Amino acid sequence: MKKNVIVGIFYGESFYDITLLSEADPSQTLYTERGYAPRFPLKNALQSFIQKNPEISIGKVFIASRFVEKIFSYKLGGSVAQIVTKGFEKWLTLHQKTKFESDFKIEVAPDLSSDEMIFGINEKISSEGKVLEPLNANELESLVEQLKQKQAKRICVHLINADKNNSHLKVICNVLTAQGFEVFNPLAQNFENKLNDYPLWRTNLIEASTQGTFKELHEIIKEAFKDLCSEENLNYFDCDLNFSGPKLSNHFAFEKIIFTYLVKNRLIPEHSDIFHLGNENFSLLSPEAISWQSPWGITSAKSFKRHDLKIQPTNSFYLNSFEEIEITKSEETFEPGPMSLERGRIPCIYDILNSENLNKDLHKKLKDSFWALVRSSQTKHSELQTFDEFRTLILDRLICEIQFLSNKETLVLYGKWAEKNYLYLKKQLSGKNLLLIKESEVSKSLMIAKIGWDKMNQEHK
Amino acid sequence: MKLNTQTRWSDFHHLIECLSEPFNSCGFSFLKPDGKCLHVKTSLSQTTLGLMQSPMLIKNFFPLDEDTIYFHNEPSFGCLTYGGIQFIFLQSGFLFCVQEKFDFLWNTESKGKPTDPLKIPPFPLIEKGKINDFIFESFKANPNLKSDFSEQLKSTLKKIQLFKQNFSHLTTKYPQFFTDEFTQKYLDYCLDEARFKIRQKVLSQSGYECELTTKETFRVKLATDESGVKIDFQGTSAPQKIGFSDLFTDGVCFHFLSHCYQFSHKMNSATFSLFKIIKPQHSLVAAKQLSPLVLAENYGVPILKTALHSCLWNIYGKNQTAPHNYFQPIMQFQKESTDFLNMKINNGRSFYFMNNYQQDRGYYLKNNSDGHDFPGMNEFSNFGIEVVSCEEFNSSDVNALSQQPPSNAWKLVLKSSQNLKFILFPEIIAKILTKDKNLSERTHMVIELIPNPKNMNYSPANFTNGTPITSEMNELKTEWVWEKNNFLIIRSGISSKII
Repeated sequence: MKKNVIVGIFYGESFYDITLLSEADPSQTLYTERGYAPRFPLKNALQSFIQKNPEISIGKVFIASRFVEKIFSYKLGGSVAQIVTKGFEKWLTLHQKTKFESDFKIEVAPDLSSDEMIFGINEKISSEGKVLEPLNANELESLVEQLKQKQAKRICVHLINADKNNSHLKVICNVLTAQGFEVFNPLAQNFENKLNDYPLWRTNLIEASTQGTFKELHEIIKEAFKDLCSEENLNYFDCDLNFSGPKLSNHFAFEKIIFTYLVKNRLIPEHSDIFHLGNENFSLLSPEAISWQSPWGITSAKSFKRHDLKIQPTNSFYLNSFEEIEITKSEETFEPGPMSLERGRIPCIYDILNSENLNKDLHKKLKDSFWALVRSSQTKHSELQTFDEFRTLILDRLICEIQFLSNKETLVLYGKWAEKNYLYLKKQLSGKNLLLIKESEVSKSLMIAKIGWDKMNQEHK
Repeated sequence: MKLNTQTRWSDFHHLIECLSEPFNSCGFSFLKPDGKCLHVKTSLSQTTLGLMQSPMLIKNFFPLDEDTIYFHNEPSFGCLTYGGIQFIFLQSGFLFCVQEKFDFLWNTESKGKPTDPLKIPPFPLIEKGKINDFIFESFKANPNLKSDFSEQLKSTLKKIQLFKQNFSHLTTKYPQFFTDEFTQKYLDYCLDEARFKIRQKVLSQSGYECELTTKETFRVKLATDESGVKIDFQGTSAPQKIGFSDLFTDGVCFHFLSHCYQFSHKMNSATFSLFKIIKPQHSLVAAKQLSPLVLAENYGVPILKTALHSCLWNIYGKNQTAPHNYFQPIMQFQKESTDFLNMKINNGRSFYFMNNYQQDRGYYLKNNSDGHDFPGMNEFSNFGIEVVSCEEFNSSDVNALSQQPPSNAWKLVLKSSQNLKFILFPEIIAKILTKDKNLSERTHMVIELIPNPKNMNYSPANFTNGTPITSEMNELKTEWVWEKNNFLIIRSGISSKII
């Protein structure tokens, strides 16, 4: 007899987390797995379970992700074009925020779209919504030809004062859609804060630019569930816990899910922050809704507040000017990743925290590599205890930062490294109540599945 | 944070960097009980020295204890940014200054001078652990203040009180870090490191001289040697229309050069001791009669940075970021009511940049420092201004260092649907006197006001032959009436041409 299940998936930059629950009794977890995708893809994990349990029948799949985060540091939008009211091609660039700026250096997020993919069109709507300059059908037609020549696939349509009168916007979107382009209309998206044009345009452009990566994620998940469930059953949460497909808002769903689930189940008090010590990210999560501050500036995308800590799992080490071993400010990527994942060559924070779980050979390799750096420092270290020493140092630094960042009385510790380090962190954190939520008991994917199940039942009712 | 019973400088440094986390808005300083500054962090260079010195000034003149929090916005006590308020307090023997920026209205004075509408002399906001209700009542009654001002103040106080608790815990947990001996050694280390970094660069000297539109002369010489950095302003005129204080000048110099020599994350009393700054008495860089803070901020910081950067360029050459005109013309549109719309516009300028993964590096021409200073379409239209176009125009001033196309200048065309007042804080450097052709070529921003001709269509190409209203200006602030249906055209300037 077939056993119906619902599935929760959290897909991060390189790690995934999957849980299968019985649809009849969601308190029954049938399967849970966490994996490092480059070595053990989701498909393999799922298929090997299904082969052993042929009675399983997959129903709805609920998904939250942080998969696109890894591309935010790269140049986006290769095939994304913008059609902009003539004379306003640089309007968005003029409002571009820089990530960091000193008088001698400027750190910029790579361009969202290149200049040659911005096309001006003669049209103008006044701020009262009056048509000052009508659209020209011939011009639009020739623009379509140019877009084809440039091999543009996704087109953002950004017209001045379109929120006052969208007649031009509609015509352009219809023509482009009919020509087979994927069209991004900023007014049709579920973005908040429609008060100003440039955050809306920016969000629309990021949406278009990340679409390829979301499609990649969708393909991975589709492939994993091939022959197990239909594509219609793949449900991507958005930041309001509705389903909106593999889109940018899915990137902000998890923060909402974790607070909703933990508060609803009375596992945490309503006004608490979460100290997330995850596989891929160390951060402070607060249950306050804000507009997402993207690397390109303020957007209209809704998100919960997330403050990334100074130390991250893929930070490595160097000998600083005090001739002491210091943690780098920049992060390595998860591909090839930390040494203990057997692909990378540079010892990272992740490796130090993970050093106790390694096999003998890998442990030795890591230790040799790390010790080669540590012994050059001016401070004396013990070769035998070096991992313990630096583990303490990492935790102390995290707690020091958290202590000053969080203004809530209760801090919830959650994530891969939470359980193991809870007692030490509790001892070090002064004046706050540190509450542990074990990821081994309440995984990310479990919360996603359960919120999904609730949602399904609400819809039935 | 103890490693094998040793105490590490790196851990203490991390700790003091964490201290400023709750106060990222404007400025923060942390001082030893003897008044030596261990750490100062600010995004506004002119406030650096003020933050370092004001806690000790307050401590010396007022009964500051651990249950009291003083606040003020007094420039002579080191509060040197428009809208800034400093909060000074003691915790576990250490002194702290937090500077927050508040959104004051501009030009609330009837005489039309932009100045702080609210003067706060040093005053205890919290005394013997209790909030001073009298202060909050008086703020409520002040029509020049926004209604949420008191709430913002209270929120800052809450943050400070939480901070005090956290810091107190920290001193108990890590007593090894908070001894006089350890903190002094930390300062000594920072001094050695900064000295080493200065020595690593070529030791040389250079100068810069310019004439201001307000007829003052500004002159500076920058020299580095084994003992540190010497900045000499001899030859700079007495203030006519612009003047800023000792602390202001020192703050900009220290902040700016510590970024150049890459010890900006270790700005403290020790690293400041490497700077010898000579300012002629009563010159505009050490004025007794100070300009309003808005003017000092708009003009003083850019003049100092432009001059110092030009000197650095002459010393270190093209491996450094190119110098440029730091000045950002500021515009204000005013309705008949006191409503203002502010707009800050950068001249095109070249910046050294790298992206997050350091894939791309090079020079970048940047028009706008931050999108926040440039209104969005709805902000313009809510003010009765129609944005007709905002185009880039190709300039002949191709910057040889740029990897970008030379389209770095732009033209903004605006049309008013009601009578407005247009206020401009224009360029101040009239003429560069230094004989250095690299620095002499640049174009200024040009602004034209054009009456609406009949049947004019909206093509920006039609706006080419207006008469600039920005020529021959020798005032720091100029006002025009911008009548209904007239056009205002703004062409951005371009910084120095560097070959």
